[in-house]
Amino acid sequence: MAANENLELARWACDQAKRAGAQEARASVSRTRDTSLEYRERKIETLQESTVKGLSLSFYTDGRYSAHRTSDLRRQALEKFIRESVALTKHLTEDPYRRLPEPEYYEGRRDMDLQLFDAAQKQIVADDRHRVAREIEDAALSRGGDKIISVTAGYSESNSESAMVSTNGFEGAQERTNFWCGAEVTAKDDGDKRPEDWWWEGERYRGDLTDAATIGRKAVDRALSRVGADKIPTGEVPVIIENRAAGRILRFYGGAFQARNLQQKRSFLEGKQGEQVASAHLSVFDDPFIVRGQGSRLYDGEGIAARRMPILERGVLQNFYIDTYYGRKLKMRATTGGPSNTVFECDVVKSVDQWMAELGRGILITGFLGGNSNSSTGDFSTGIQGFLFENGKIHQPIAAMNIAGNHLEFWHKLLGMGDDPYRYSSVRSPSLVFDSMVIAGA
Amino acid sequence: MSEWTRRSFLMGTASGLGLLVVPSFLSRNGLLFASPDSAAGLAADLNHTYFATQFGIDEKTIRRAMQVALSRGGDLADLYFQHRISNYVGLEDGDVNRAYSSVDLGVGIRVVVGDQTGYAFTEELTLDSIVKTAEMAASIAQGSPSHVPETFKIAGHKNYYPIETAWEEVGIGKKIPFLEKINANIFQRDQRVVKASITFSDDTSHFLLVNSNGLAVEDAQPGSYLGAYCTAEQDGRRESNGYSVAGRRDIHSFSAKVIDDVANTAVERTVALFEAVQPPAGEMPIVLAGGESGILLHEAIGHGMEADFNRKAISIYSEMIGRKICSENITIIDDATNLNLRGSINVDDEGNPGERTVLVQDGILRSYMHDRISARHYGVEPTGSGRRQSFRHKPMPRMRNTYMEPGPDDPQDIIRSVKKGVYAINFTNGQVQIGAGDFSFYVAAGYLIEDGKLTAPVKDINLIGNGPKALENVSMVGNDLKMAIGGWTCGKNGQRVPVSVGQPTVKIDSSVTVGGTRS
Repeated sequence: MAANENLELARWACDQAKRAGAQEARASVSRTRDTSLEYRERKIETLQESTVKGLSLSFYTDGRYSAHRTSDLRRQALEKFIRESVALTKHLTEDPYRRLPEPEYYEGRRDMDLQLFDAAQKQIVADDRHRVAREIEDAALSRGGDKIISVTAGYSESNSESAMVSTNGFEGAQERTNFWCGAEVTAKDDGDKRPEDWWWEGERYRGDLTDAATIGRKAVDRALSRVGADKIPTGEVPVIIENRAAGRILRFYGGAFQARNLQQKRSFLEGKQGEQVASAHLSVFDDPFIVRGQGSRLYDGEGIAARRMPILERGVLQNFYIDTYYGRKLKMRATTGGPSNTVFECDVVKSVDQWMAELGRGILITGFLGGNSNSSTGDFSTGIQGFLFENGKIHQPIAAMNIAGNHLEFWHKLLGMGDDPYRYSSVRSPSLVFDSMVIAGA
Repeated sequence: MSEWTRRSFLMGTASGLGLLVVPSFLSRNGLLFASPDSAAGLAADLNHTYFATQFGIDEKTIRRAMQVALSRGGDLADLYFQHRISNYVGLEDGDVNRAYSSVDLGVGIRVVVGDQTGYAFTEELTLDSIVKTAEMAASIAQGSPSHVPETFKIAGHKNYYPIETAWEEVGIGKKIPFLEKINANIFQRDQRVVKASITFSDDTSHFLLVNSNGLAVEDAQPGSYLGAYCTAEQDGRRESNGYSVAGRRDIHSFSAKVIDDVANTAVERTVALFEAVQPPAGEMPIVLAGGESGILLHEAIGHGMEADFNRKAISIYSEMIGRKICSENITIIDDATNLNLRGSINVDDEGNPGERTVLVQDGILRSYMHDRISARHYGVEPTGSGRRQSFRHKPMPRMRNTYMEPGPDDPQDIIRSVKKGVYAINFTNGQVQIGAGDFSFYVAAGYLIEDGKLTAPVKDINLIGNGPKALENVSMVGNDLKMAIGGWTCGKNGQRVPVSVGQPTVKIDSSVTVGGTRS
């Protein structure tokens, strides 16, 4: 389906909604084509292909709101679906805050090419995909030799198109591609333990992927580095959270920046705009305009035109993620309903090796296990794995330990960052360095 | 694709949590070992199934799809047709101000050659599209055509979720009063409550599974979820917590008593947190209260016993079958047959009957959970554990309702036996590393145990340990098995399926780390 066809279907659905009695409506049409494959023991383990399509609709009538999704895009079935969905909306309570965004939010949309779509994808044939996975597996097997038990190498590719139309004047369409490849590796260890680790990379353009053999070797090196991991006694030490892992702790933090949690009195950051809530070394921005970025966009799910927005500047709380509904309830101007790319700035940047040398002894966290965070109070607690470093050098792998704290204290302990922003995620965090934390162990 | 999609984890649905109190519609005896009726209304043949009458998927279409799926050979081919209708209605700030619905319709086609899988799906149930999908799935095979069965026999099955009224017949107007009643009760019950969100959701998944052995099975799986989440304020401090009931039940199960329980428990759990402190960090004895603490089993042993991980030799349990791994007082079951529980299934998504699988018997590791691929690999029968999130996903071995059978000990004696430790009651989520065996789960509420007594409430702590080591250290097993009835959902390789867990009160000797903030 071409972008025009998607837009046409979305327009048609909005018209049908009005005809069925809705005052306002928004319709999104999307189509995603996925191909993925996995290799293990030099054979294909799985081969998957699919196309997912769908129409999502939101209706607003006298403050009554409902939303619906279907994958059955036959016009006749859709007509019935829309009629029934609009009828259902009438049962709800009137809520004066429920309406489409004011059209001013649609204005100022940037006209730039974010380079999210790799037109060269059309030339990729099945053999190219298989070759990447095989090369990753070959490199991993030869690197790991008899020290490893299992390698699963994978490749996946997706291509998605979407279009969105609102009855009060929004129209937008976009196309994206994504290419991911990597491996999971399980290593031998003493006894029954079989430590595992992974390395995956994803890019918007196929040509940006790292060479496959390097990815395979990285996955093996990660798994082998876990051999012999154990917990060490509970203690208070400085902590470095590796770039790849930092997204998890940032997602824990992120709940408190959401408008719904503010309005529902479930955010420990309520009323703290303009206050110093974190270390002056920490600046965080929501940046939708990163070329080829995983979270890049020109408008959000409501159609609000994307803008670069400071979240924290030198530790001072600047902005929350506010959609139009909760914005009206909070009497705050909407910003955007959710994160695009999260980027970091810091005045103290060093390589992880330099940080270890400077701190002498501490823990480098390379992964989290489970855990959660309470957005009402800021308390969090989560399992960790990684390494103990001593005299500035990696000393031993540690596992099954735990870090806990409160976000209102924890982020004040930030000393600086690594020089290594993680590019394979919309959270482009560098490694983060914290002053002493209690790490629970034996 | 994030690291999340590759790992295995369990979580409470939305903000809702699991069970502690058994609502009145669950009699303790009826819960585990009911003897259900056979499902009524077995279709005569493939021209009279739900998908034949609703969508024109007749025997001719299925035969053609099967022929194409097997056109390059293969040990097994199956077609999984699914029609799923989901509804959600929510109350916030006193108003029923949001409703969502979705319809999923499609077919997933799988071709298996040894351990290898080709999988494709389509959302267009036209012959042309189904044939193209079958061609894609067939590309895994490289040989000459396999035999297409002469006949497809519709198999019957038991019914572990008898319901009176299908959700498709229940309008939104019948659900709204539940939300309004709970909201009113919550604010009436405690002046400290400042916010409440209440959600009700239901879904019905109709599926038809046909495979190259000539088997055809259909089922309709109902599901429902009612949850309340609230925030309370006291002396400038805020706390939030909630409660939910979920399962394969119909609207009649939501009695006035259940509605009251949801409101009361949500409030009680929230205001209790004002007294709570964080415990000291480090290893100490843990007592897990009966009920949703079965999350221990799900993480510490359940995932590791899924046979796909063992077939690949990447689970810590890969070479442990037949070994004594814990006290002879411990028997651990993964069960599809519990009446109306969230993880129960009449048949799995590969057409095998749901069954009760013994993972650990009297301390000895007995059986993995199998799908067809792993069963064939190990030369055993499938255990009815082949599940999938939807027709968009290939099946793999998954848990259903995982629990430990009751043991000999009095729960009070278990608490009394601990000098200094943590008593954990209420959980939100957990995660495991299959190979290393390290697991963790998050405690939303519990108590400190000091000199054999429950003292200060504790909250927001993560427990972390190693699966086999934690089981080895289970030194007491209570006689009070309870099943969780909250909205638990299990994630694995990016696929989510509904499950439940259960456990009697259990004591783990010092080996699990409590993740506190004080050293």
